[in-house]
Amino acid sequence: MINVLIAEATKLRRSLVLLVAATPPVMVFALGALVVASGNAPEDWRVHTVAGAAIWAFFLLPMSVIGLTALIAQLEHGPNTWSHTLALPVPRWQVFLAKALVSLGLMAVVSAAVALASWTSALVGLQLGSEVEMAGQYDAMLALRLYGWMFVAGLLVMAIQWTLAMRFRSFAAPVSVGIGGTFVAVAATSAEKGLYFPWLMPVNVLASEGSRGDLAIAMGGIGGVIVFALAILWLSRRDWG
Amino acid sequence: MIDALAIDVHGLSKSFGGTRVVDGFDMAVPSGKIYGFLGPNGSGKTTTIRMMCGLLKPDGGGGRALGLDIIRESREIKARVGYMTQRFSLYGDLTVRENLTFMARLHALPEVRNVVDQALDEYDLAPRAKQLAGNLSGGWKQRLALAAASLHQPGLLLLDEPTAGVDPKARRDFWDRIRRLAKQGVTVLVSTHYMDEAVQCDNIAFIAYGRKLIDAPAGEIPARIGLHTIRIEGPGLQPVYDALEQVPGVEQIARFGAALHISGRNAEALAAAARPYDGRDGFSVSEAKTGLEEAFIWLMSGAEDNFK
Repeated sequence: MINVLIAEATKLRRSLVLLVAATPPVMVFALGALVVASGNAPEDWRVHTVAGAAIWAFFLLPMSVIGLTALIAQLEHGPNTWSHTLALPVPRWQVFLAKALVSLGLMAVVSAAVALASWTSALVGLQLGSEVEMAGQYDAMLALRLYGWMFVAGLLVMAIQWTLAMRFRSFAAPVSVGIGGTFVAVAATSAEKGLYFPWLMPVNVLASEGSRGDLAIAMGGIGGVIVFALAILWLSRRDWG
Repeated sequence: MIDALAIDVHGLSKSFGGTRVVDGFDMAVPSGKIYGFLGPNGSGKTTTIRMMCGLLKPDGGGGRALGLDIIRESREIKARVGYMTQRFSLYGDLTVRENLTFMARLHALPEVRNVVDQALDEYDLAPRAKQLAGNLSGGWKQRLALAAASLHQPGLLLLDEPTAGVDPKARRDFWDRIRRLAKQGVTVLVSTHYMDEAVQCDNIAFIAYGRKLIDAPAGEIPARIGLHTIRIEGPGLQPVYDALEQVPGVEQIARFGAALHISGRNAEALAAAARPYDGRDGFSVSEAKTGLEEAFIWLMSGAEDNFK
């Protein structure tokens, strides 16, 4: 399994996947620094951290998931390497599990990088804007908790996007579902049933009612693991003719 | 113990979406031979190869590859078979060395670096080791793919149209390497569309519409079909072509440069059909050796299209 994981990670070298993975933290850093320097940002470290996490949960997380899972799948779909990869003496479930773990690992790295970018952008913005101040202190634990739980709550969306990206040769299907899901999440943010909508689960981590956040984490996390497991099983058994 | 047959499959069948792509396919390939696998596009060659290497599960039939059951022991087969797909299936963003290292790792080979160095030398890839695979020419890509497919020293190589779109010089190099591997005892099953490649095989199996039409040594195929061929040379061949199409005994007409090859199983009827043109208006008629191409076109014309 270690060899398969290393092999899957090796495929990312020089690929567009890494470029897409770098985009969210770079954008958050650049825009964050400019906004803080201009004096238009929240003048409180706590609000700044929560606002950054909200932008991540609403837009950047689902968009990153769409891009990363589609591009990781296209590493096989593009050059049509499925028949080659699956003809190697490795159990199919290991191939798909390794792909899932690499996708999740990359999303975890991007999450952490965005959290770091949000913090460092403010530090740089404060240096650039001479009259800007930020009240309170940066709470690293708060950021860790928010981004960590958002990752867990986002597992279901990751699993859905990953499954579609692996299954369909064209990336039209996963991209359409991803864009649709993100749009519906924005439109249905405060809807009662929105609690059960996968694309809203990471956002609900920020809910003022603690129970709503806990439910989102539980449903997103457990649902994500179940969907990943079923998808790996299904993809391993289907004909890749 | 080495099995006398590297491949021994019976009644292989596979359907996709209600269409039977392979239908009751039998094949016995002796160890250490180069076996050609011919057939038009969509005839079921790729599907058959994929069933033999354990990639696809047959709907019916079964058999053994390298003595292992193709259904129950597919994983063991994968470890002992080298499979080269129709299109270049390695990773264009990785270098030649990285691609080979990647393959060595998935085959869990010991001393990966040594194995890769050896393959780079053996296939003259060492000067290109740091080049991205995606930037290689078609011939070099196929050479890399063959190096990758034989990295783990398989007993059986399944090559699916390995030289499609490759220039003649690269094709010749590629076949030199295949013959070298066969000399070392590796059994090679290779699908191809090129007749000059087919004649280099010890045996040829021809498949159309999912069914095997013939399986024999390359040199024996025209005789087995009993097909005779006459060559008609001369100016303005189209009217002759049109006229001969209607003549009994002429089962097939093919243009070969400035000549027509007419073929049929009844030698007398064929000769009678060609006789009127002998010496007329600058035409000449001579007996010709029936080639593989004529034999295969004739076989195809008689095959029943069960895909319709």
